[in-house]
Amino acid sequence: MILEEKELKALLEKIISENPGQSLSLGISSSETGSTRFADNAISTNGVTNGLNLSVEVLKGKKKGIVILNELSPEKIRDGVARADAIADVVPENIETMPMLGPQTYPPTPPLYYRQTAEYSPKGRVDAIAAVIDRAKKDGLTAAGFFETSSGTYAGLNSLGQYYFVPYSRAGFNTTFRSEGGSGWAAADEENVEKLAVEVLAERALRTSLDSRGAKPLAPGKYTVILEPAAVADLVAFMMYNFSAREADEGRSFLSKEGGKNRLGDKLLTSKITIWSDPAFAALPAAPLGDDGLPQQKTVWIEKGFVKNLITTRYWAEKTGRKPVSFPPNILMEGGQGSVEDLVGSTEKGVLVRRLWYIRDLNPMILLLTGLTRDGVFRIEKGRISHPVNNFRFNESPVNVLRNIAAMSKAGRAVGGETGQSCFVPALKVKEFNFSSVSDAV
Amino acid sequence: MKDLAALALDTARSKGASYADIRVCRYHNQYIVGRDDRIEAVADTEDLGFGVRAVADGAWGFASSYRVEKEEIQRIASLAVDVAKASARILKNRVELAAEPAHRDHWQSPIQKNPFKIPTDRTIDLILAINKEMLKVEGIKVATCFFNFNSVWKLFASTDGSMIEQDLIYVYPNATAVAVGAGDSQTRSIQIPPEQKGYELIDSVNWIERARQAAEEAVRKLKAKEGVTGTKDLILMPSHLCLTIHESIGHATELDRALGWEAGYAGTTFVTRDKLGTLKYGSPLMNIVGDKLLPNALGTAGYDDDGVKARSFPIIKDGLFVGYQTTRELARFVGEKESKGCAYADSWSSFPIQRMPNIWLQPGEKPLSPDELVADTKDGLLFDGTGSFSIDHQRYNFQFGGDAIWEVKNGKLGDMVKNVAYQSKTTDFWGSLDAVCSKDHWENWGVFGCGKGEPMQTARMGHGSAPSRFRRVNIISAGGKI
Repeated sequence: MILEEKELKALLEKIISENPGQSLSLGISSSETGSTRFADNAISTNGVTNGLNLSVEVLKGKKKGIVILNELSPEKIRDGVARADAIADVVPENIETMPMLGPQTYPPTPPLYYRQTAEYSPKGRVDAIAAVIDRAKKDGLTAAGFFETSSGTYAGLNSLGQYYFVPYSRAGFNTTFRSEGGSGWAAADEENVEKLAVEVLAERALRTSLDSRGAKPLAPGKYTVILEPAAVADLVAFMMYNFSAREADEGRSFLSKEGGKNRLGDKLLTSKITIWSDPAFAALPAAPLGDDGLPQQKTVWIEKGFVKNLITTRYWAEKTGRKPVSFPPNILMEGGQGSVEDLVGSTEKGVLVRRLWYIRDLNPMILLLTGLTRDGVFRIEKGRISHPVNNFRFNESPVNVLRNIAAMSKAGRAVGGETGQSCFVPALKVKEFNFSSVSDAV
Repeated sequence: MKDLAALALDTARSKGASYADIRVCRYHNQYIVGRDDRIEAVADTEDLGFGVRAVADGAWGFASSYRVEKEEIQRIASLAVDVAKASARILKNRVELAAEPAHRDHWQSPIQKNPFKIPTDRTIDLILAINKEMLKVEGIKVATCFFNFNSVWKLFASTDGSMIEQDLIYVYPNATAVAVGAGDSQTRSIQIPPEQKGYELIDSVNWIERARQAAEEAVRKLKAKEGVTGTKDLILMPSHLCLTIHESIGHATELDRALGWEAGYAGTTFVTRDKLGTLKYGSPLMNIVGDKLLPNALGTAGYDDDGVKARSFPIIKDGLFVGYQTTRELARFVGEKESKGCAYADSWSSFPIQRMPNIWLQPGEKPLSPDELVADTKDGLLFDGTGSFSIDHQRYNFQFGGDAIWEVKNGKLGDMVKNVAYQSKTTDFWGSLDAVCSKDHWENWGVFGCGKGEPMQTARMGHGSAPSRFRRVNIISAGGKI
């Protein structure tokens, strides 16, 4: 059972009241997770767990001590506060430590918590997986995957009265179907488990695993590539993870310019690109507060190719005379019209990529990434998918990708295969995408 | 606590479990993070809980909780059996565990100085001194340093009669200098392997000298040339080779991957079961050992999370693939009667899965030093420390960068180069191994945060080696402008 707001709030208020005169910032989280994993057409692991964590920060001017614990007896809590206090005594002053926030007004968001998800049972997961495995067996295929349902609450209170409470739930499902010589994958997540279309996902993975059999060799090189939304989600997420104002100002980022300047206000990408965050976005809602405790607002990061905002901590905002901008609570991108099939239909010669894998930074100054294709790569000829081809390693920058857009599909919610990041993004048709070598993996 | 563990096992048995185990774990971590002349964070975290694993009707079930109390232990043990019975509906192979004697033991990391008993201000002063030294070097814009101390206590009890207590301590130091200038930014880290040691690891290093050296190399790296491509001989130092071993051998020889049990996430492996005893993985100089015995290595323990006593086993012998990593559940799938002791769970709330133990390259038998290796190389690159890393989901195609890279020209170490990586295919690469330095030059490196499984679990493991040479490997440039 996850803890309700009144229990969490009462505990936090008790700790604050027992420590008068202390500058305390408390955070508490309670969660319950059930997860079922399957592979080789059978369940491999199945479990449930619950967790509870209390974070105690003691602030003494510019000095801070942090203790995190999960034994919440009165003695343990008292000990945790005392330890955080002792750390704050020992730590030297940090000029970047910001004062506590006072009470905040957090904006309303669409529901993040659904009882259906929180109460979803191990049997429910097993039933869904049983149907997926039956489907795989019917075509002589092997299915693997993961189905997780979780729910939780988190709350915070500090000595100045800043308070928040967020209930949430999440259901995630992914499956990989493997055929003789082929492989397919599909994944999705939702706040409400009832919106998770497990059978549709299984069908998509099954279709790709069949279609990707008998891949023909294709040499590495630069190709017109159609990236499905799962691949786009990963590339855009990697770019947004690196959207720090401070690193840009310090000359350590692809957003840096000579002389300690950054690319804020510059045209970085093609005019087709607009990327923003908004906790109130109905199809992919997010928590109403950022990791800095500030209320989350709609934030436009890229507008028609121009850089409009960078992630800016409270300290860096104060130092540089800007406003603080929290880490993106969600990643939303404007799309075009039509579907992936329409993008294929408009392509004379190209390569269709379903998903990317094992993406890592190579060079932060140009945001060069490396990674691989996985679970379905297809040659496009004369507006149709002609045949499957081998997997590739790519060495490419999302900046180049988002400069070389030929067309975009309508945007939708997608989960990155590498990052697991849920984004609202289109599929992209990209010119000159760089495949640097062939992978023999199937 | 042992009484509570026994209660869990009795409850599981009474609910119909044919096997059950419980792990009660307490994790204590301390992180001290510094940037420039500031300490950014000192955090102390504790986490206690237990997980019960049960076999019922031939299937696994698992449940866990943070509330280590009598009623909760009974509830969770009972729930684990219920979950097992639900899983049994979709069963392909009934769980059969390889035999393992019952152990009643206590094992602990052989540390000399408990890092949690060292006054925090001593570590704070050291971190600030390291950063100060790095910032003295002209061109260094940012200096970061963190020390991470981890302690793990775990009690394992099983219906097979084992009752095992283990106390493990790990130390992970890291310090990095960031040079900025002329439109570029480059980093260089002090190369000290994380190990299963106490504060003696910190005390064994001349940090100030190493800080100065790392900062100077960061600045040299900033000014280094880029655009080096083609095929070159590679000399890989142990600080670098650890990750290549990890990705191209460690993960590739996991039996759960070969069986398709990781197909949904991390992937499978090209090392399929028909290749056991027949696959020529690399040159005859390649001898790879798996174990949990190597002193101070990150994967070392008295027992694994199946309660299997630590052991050593060959994985690759004279270049031939001879053994998978296994657990009690996996052993029978390669016709073995004993587990290799490779079960691991990263938390009380995690189900133990097959994870790498220490997997390391044996040193060469003939005396050979890194200097001699360089002197014997005409056209190469020497890689020190790890950089970017990526490998496909069946472990064929990989690409690795490095923390610092030097040219080797006509037997001499030349200038540094930057923004360079090598690409290869696992068996081609290990087949090109033509020299491994001797044991005096072997170093106990490892990986501190390897992810695997769903839900994701992280693990630490040792990957020691001596400097080694690989012939004619493809080099790619990671430079350019946007």
